[in-house]
Amino acid sequence: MARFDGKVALVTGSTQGLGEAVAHRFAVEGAAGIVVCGRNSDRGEAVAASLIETGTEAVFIPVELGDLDRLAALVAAADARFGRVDILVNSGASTDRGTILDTTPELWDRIIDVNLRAPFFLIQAVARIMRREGIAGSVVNIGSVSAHGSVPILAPYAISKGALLPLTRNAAFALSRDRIRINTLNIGWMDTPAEDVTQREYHGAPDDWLATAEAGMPFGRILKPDEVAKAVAFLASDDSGMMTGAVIDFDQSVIGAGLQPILPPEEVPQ
Amino acid sequence: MRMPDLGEPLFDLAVCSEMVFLDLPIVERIKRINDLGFLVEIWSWWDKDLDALAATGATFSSMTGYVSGNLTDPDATDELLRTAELAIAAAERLDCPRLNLHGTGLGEGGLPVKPVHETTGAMWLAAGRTLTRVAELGERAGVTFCLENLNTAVDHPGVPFATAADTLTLIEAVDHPNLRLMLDLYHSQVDEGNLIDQVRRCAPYIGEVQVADVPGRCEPGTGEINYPAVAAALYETGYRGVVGLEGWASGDDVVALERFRTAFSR
Repeated sequence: MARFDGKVALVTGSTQGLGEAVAHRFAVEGAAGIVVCGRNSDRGEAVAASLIETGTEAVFIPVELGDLDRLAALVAAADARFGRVDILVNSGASTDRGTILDTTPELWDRIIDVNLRAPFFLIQAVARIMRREGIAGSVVNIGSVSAHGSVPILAPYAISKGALLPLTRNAAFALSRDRIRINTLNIGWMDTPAEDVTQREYHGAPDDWLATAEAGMPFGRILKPDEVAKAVAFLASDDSGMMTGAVIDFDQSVIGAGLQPILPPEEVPQ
Repeated sequence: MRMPDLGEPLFDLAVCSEMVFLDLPIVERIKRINDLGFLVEIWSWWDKDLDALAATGATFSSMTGYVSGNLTDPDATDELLRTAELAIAAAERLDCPRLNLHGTGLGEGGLPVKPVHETTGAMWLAAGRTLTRVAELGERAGVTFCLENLNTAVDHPGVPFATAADTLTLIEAVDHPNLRLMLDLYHSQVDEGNLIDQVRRCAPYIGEVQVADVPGRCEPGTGEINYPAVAAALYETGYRGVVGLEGWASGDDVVALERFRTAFSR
């Protein structure tokens, strides 16, 4: 029997990158139903179609994570379609850039709404279904090692990811009697389509940015979505037992070890 | 209001975008239907890009008015009301005036999420109470909820309050201007027949009319219903609202839509 036999999973941000890899991992390991969601309808339909080809029931629902009404409709639609939700993966996020000096209130609100408010209310909505159905469900939040502080340009992003720690622990504690588990994976620099766009558009990076970046890394590469998807699958499945309220760093950076990082002069926000 | 000229439509005509031009993506389908001069009906809105739909410039006539829940079970009625509010928010983005309900929540393939084989008195009373709450919600939001009759013989077995007679009973009992009947003459013909008499009885309570021929659920003229006669009877009742084609095209989509227009023209 496969790990996800009969399970229904809702994966945000699954039109590409890590969310897509997670959805495929669940499908390969037997998931009965997967709700694909994100903003890009063409990609979402394509991902759902590729999941269906593997024998999984999949549906794409377009959703803007900042829109609470659409989030509520997303979960209600998943409930109407499958009658249950076993797994929620909060993978969708905004990586928009802003420092402590130049972040506008509008940028702050947008990032917090997408990266923090959306996971909170999605957990709330799926937990209600899990409780109603008596499902010992699992929630995996995709955090970031930037939650430990991060570089200046990721100020609201880092803060939104840092706040996943008390969200994870509070929700895990609150729902422990329901055996609904909440865990967070703080991932590091990852090779995704979104990261490629970020590097080119925000940082004017050349075409070979990835090779250059990976050459300087201890492991000779940056994280790949498929290897992170395996860790997500571990947390989402019974393989992680009663593990709950855990916030785990998954990266080649080691927080607190090595030389104290000092901000180079050229990165001081102006 | 003047009588339409010969050959002019007797009603505002809509087309359900879920059943025609199926080789096109939904946004293109809606543009096509709009270009051909029809209003547009949709079913689910939660799986659609509402901004893209609104940007088509089409005029939307009706859409599904809930996501989950049903009319009778205590927790499920709250769910119906909660998701009806979500439907209202979506309808505002499309400027869509009518929100469609069914006798119970429908799932994949139009089959009831929870089939009902016996409708008890308690269920009738609960449905009446829920529909009153829905109507009051519609009044506050300025939209009309429409309860649709469905057939149980072919398409929707296990749906309670399915016939036009049953839906009309509930709507008459609630008696609220923001709760009307989505009179689907295809469904009514399958389970009940006697359509002209049906139209006359339902007329004061109709929010919108949907049509397709029987059997096959294709455009008027492909089956046993004399739609020009039904259209004339509907016009004689004083009904001046929307009539929508909620059916498949028997062949070419454009031809099917023109047959529909002709059947509902003077």
